[in-house]
Amino acid sequence: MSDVELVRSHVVDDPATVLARALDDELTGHALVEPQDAFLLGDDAVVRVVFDEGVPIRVAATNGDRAGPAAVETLVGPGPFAVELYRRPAGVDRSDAAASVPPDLPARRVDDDGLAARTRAAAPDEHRTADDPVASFLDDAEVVESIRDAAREEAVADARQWGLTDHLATDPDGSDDPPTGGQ
Amino acid sequence: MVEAFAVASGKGGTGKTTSTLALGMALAETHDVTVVDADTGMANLLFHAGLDDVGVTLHDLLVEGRGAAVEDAVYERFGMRVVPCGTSLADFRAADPGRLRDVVATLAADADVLLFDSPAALDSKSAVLPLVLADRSIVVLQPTVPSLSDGLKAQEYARSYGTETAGVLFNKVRADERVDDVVGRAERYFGGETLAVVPDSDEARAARRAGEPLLAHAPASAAAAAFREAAATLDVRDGDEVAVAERFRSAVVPDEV
Repeated sequence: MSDVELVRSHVVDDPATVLARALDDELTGHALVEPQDAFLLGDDAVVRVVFDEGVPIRVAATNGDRAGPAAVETLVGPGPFAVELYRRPAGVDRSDAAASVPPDLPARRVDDDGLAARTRAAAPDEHRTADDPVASFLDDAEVVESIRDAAREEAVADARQWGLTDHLATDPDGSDDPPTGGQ
Repeated sequence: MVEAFAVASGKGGTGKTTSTLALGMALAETHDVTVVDADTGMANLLFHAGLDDVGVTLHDLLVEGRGAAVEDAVYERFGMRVVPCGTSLADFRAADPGRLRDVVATLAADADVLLFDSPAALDSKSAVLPLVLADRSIVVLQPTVPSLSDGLKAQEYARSYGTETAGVLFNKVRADERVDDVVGRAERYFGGETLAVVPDSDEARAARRAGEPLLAHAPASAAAAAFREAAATLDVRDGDEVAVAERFRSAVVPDEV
């Protein structure tokens, strides 16, 4: 990675440490964060956090499994975390739009409200998703999941009411075997 | 080969019918396409396709005793076969949605692609049948919270019946909407490809007033180009028409609308 410079490589107990350091240094670059349990389990769950002048704007698993808020959840697991911090002199890499996160989400998820507030204050306007209700909605994984849960429940309830249970993809009574007759 | 797609949105006003006909016309350049207005309670495809004065519609196939053959309700228009639905409330009430199965099974025999213009609201047995029975869905969205939330609901509802999402189409996108960020975020949750981002267009409204599909009325418009891109991006699968027909024929018959 010739376009980045390694700033620091260390192990931290709390990923908030990494976020705070990047913010304090106004780092433009990224961090690679690897949970210890991933290391021990041979998992390759390394998460890349992209910073724009210290503000996290993209989070994604380097193996492509997760991006955006789902990838932030990797930071919530038990530590310690192996961290490599890189500076990117050429400027921020915004290429992975699917990995977008609200700037304060990582700090909020690691339960550091003070850091979350400082991050919000430092975030440039373009990353202040609170002003963009559509982006904020899509960044709220819990709300999205609740909509999906409700739709699944409604589909099952409707199927029972309208005699369509044979067409459900999974048995509403818990069997793993798909019923016959549906597609 | 045949694959049946339910064009869904979960919300009215997203341009679902315009999208269905536009995709149908674009796909018809390479496939045998049949478009069915499966929104039997709020039919409007006939107005978009200049078929509002035809004698026989899907309703005549769904109401017992009319004696109409499936072919009587099929109209060759714009390179496609189009099955419009009437707008009579009395016919809608008299229709037996279970008859849709045989209609679709018959249509499947002559098509590579079946496109169902599906009802927005999932509030009745007849409204959910296209999503339940289709091979896959195409979800038409606008970059707004209500549209995205209703689209998520429609997608998940369809998935509950094993109907995966073939792709999503962002439609009626205004120039001032920051759609790139929305598309990237939406891809986390929606299945399939983002087929296209279709700009909001006066041509689409003019096409509707003229009773023509957008691709016939304004083929050089940016919106028409986006729909052609969407059709090119959609990976139509070679389904077995016998299996598709059988699936529709064997579908559970709802008792009432």
